[in-house]
Amino acid sequence: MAVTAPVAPPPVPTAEPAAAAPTAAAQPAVRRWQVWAFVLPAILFQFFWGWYPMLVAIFLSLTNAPIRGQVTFVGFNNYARLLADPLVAMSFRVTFVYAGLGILLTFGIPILIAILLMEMPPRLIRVMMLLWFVPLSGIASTIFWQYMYNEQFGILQFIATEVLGLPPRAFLSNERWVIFWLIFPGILMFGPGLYYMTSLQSIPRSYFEAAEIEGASFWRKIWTISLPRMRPIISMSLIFAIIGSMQEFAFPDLMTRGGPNGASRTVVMYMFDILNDGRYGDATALSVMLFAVIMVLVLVYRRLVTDDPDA
Amino acid sequence: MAGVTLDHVSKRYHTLTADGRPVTGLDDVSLHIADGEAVSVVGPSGCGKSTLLKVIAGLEMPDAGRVLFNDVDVTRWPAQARGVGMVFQDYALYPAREGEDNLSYYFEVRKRTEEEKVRRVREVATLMGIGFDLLLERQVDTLSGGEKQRVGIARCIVRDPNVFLMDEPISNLDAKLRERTRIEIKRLIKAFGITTVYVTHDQQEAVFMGDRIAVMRAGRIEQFGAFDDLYFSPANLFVATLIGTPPMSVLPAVRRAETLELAGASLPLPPDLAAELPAGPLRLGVRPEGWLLDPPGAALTLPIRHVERIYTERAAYAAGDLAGSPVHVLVPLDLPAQAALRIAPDWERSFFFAAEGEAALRVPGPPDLF
Amino acid sequence: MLFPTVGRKQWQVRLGWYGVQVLLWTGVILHLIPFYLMLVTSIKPASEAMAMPPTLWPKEPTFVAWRLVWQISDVAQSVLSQPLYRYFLNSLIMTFGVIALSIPVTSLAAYASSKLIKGPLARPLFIFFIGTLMMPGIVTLIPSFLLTRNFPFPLPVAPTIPGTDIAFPTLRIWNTYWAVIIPAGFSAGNFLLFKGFFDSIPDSIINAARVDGGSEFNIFRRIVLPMSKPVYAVTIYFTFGGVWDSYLWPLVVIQDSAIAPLTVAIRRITDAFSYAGTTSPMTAMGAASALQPLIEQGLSWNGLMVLGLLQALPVFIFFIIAREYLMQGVRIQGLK
Repeated sequence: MAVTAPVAPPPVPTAEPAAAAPTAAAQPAVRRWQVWAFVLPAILFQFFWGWYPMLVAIFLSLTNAPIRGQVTFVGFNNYARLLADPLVAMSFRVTFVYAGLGILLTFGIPILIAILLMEMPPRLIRVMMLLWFVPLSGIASTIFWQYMYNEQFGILQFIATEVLGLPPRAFLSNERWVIFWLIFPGILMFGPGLYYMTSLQSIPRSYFEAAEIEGASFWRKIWTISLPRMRPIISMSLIFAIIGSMQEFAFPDLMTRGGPNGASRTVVMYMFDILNDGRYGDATALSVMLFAVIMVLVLVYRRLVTDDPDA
Repeated sequence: MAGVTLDHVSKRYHTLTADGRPVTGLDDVSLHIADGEAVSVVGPSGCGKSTLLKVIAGLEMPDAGRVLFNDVDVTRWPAQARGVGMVFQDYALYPAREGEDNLSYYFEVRKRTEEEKVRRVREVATLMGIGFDLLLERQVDTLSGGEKQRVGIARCIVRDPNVFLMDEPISNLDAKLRERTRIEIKRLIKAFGITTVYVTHDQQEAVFMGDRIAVMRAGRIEQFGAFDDLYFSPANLFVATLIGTPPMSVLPAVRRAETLELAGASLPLPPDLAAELPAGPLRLGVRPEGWLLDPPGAALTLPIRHVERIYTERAAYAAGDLAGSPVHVLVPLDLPAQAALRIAPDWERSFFFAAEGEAALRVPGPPDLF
Repeated sequence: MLFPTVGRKQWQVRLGWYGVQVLLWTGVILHLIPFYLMLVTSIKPASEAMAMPPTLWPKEPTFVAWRLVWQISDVAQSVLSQPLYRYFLNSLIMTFGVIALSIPVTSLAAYASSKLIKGPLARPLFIFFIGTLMMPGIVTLIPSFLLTRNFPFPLPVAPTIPGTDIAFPTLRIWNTYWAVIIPAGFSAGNFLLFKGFFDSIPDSIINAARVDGGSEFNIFRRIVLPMSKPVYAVTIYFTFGGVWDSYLWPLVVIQDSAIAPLTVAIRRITDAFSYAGTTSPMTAMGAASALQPLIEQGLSWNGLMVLGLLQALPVFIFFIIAREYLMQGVRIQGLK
């Protein structure tokens, strides 16, 4: 009765005719050409207008990059010339102040507003988000803020002198304050960050309920639940904020054109001035310098914040 | 319809799991499923059972080996050409379509006629039973889990598939619905007589669904056979402990001449059994019903930790520890309250495994019913 | 849930709750104020638009600025060589061109990256697609500009084929609409948005459709597209806003003012009115004098506000049309 060989031999495969053959004839299971059809256009565009210009930039910065005529390799001459140019140093100083102050004063706001907004009942969130989403295009808001900042009849001047009783001030034409006033609209027009809201949504309600049972306070819940859960997205946003604000161009250019006396002329604005002079090599070299500086900043940041290698 | 044969199929994944090990695929798997047979594939999560299903469906290309439907080599055929029907754990209904449009996608892409589609959908609706045509009119995100899976099953059978492939179709449903859907699927499988591969992690479900059961672990098939084979003649310790609830108790023991030393006691062995077993350390496996209560002669004393009474099945299990291993013993439902049980293994129903590794030394085999 | 669910009647909790409400509504109102002020200013007469103190509502509403703005090109050819609607049209052509090219290209790649490409190639390809996000766009400005001149050579003049005097045939898109459209053919930012969405579609749905017999492209078109409307709404909206507002790139690659976008045209007008610091005061003075007849008729900041509103209008219209999908696309429902 006891059996020591437990496994039965596998049955012999049946030899039926191939009635199973479905409609299509045999074709390879690997749909490789179809996959390429999906990605090839994007690969071409991304290569030729994404990566290739990157490489070209580094190459051009080492040449005279003339408008016409022979391209000659000039080594680091362009860089040397830029380093000797006091306006370059000044534009970097402006950029650092602009980016640093801008991130310091505005980066945290959308995070806090997103956290607070999620406290509202869903219907109210919808209404508020809809109103917050109403778009004001960049150029339109530039015109608006130029109007606001007008020293004779701007509304901010009105508020400063008539409402607050302060002496009239030169907003954008004050060398010391111009950068602050360029950042100020970003503080005033606060709103919730979209990505923060979506990441907040993924926090299970039970986390907060557990914290409530533990007796955690309002701020403590933000500190121990909301912020840690948002950490990857905050970290990523900060990197993009650094990259973006170091390249500030359109808003200051339209608001002040770099004035007064270059006090708001960022690196990109100065690069554009050089470009307008036809100095392609110098302009590219300046952009590569800026790129290197940004990369160093990003790497330093990544070294300091090591928790999300995939950001 | 088709019989399915896997011939030395291997599949490796390049992705890694969270802890850095490669995702299990299939490791030299051979399997033959006869035409019209229902086979369950059971194993712990990550054992490769879903990969097996995907290889049969044509959703994954094996690195080596062949897949045959009847005798046709379909290894390099894409899923689109194999004509299988598949039911998924998460239902996988097309969310932007109504119930009925979920069924008709098959006919759309195959450029079948409208009449054929309508006829087939009506046939299937009749087969699926009362109220099913109402589900077909609804948007899929308004359906409950059970309703979704009914539509999912209908989508699978509407095409008259060569093979039914079911990937844990009922594990996302709640207990009561799971029971009902299980019976419904079984009824459909029987009604169609279509070759079926049913993947599950639940051994009871596997037993219920499959004529035969394949037990998988780490990309390999550990054993393939009917329930009685797996239960009474497990190929190794893994299969033995996987099949059966509560699980088999496995105790370290030492064979000395005519006795088995076990948990501090010395039990005499029948002479034929003693002759069969190697001397020295081994492991004894006993299922809950394989213990003799209050045996005459030498016995073990099992301190009772608790008694689990399953009134619906008129059974009770006493649980305790012997030599550091958990032991479950089938006892009468009206077992009087007591601190310990005197038990001894019924040698006719005992399993023996090597002390190291998992090899089975001796298994009882299916009981002789005559 | 930062506020406790039970015990909201306590005065501290109530106060906090209303405090948060006030803060949020303040933000919403501050966001809407520019729209109101621009609208109001645009219907003020010139003197009132520059009056101190400013008025909240014009004493005598007038549409003079709305009328005069359209005459800039007639009166001051040196500022605008074409009628205003022409720049509007240019912007629309570029915007829709970019959307028509980049949304399909980007979404197909994101879908493939999310659902079709598995194995060792997937990760490098992903990095290839999003790696440029980490790089400051400004570096590629000059090379890209040169590429539009003589693609694929980043040179102002195409090189000659060695041994001959014939120049290499090159693709010259500089100073055409294509110079704005083609370089924007792939968007790494949209790629991430698309991929995030496609990743959230269970593989089993795609597998079910494969088993049903759909080809990869058919599955994308018939199964995936219908369920992806929200993410398309969001990416198209971002692309629309981005291209419509783009200023620097068109300024670089479009020289012919007849095909310049509205942003560049508006910049020329605001320069002509410029009150802020300017690098070339002489030019601005000249342009301003060209505008003199209009200024005498009552054009001032009210006209600039009209321009700002015109610039904002299409994005606003798009927002109104697509708002339902946009809200779905960002999937804001409150905490779970």
